[in-house]
Amino acid sequence: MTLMLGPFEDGELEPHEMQEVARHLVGCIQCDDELADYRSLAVSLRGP
Amino acid sequence: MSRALRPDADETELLERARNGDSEAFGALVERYQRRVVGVAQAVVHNQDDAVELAQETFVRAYENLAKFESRSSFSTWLYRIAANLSIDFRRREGRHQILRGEDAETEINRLPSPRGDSYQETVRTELSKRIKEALKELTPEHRAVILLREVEGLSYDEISDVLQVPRGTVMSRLHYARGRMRATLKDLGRS
Repeated sequence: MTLMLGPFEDGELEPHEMQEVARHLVGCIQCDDELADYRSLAVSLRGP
Repeated sequence: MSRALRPDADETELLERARNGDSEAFGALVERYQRRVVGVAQAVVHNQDDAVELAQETFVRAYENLAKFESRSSFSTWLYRIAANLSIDFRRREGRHQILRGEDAETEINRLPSPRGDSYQETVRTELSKRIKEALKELTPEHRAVILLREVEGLSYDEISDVLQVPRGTVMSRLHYARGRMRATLKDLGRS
């Protein structure tokens, strides 16, 4: 699942995969944290 | 007599006019894509001055070859591909593909936002910015290029694949690795 988190954040998965990851995130704190870190990283790289 | 150019002119119209020798229309396209073309070149060559020169060369090549552009891909992807090809050739010629020189890494990474201010929050942001720059320096040029093209330039996986001439799967694995490495490097800051 962890391999799909980046592409999920980037909107680069197939629709059924997007749904699969979204469902998984509801019950997985670890993956949710990892995704939050990716988002923070992206925001920091892009700047204000 | 040529028609006046609207600031929000449609890309198809600009291309058509540029193909017919309207330099003002081509100038509008240059203005529209210049920043991102420099970004693509910089992600490959890791040096701002070289990237600006390569971007200029990209637009010269594009203007000379406009008749060959067949709209199979978007104009922007076509431009980025020219920029990447020129940049990759340049890097090969300069022998810069083995190890990113320290001063070039500094130039590239210093493009990233550097927050100013003296409040606590600004201090934290400054520290974060510093750590991100350090984490980027620890990546290989290939991994750094992928993450900068994605996060800073906003290119899709297919565009990155096209630009860097690597399979889409390689883009995905490099991006995954780069994010994982940066996450690990930055973890300490989140805990402190």
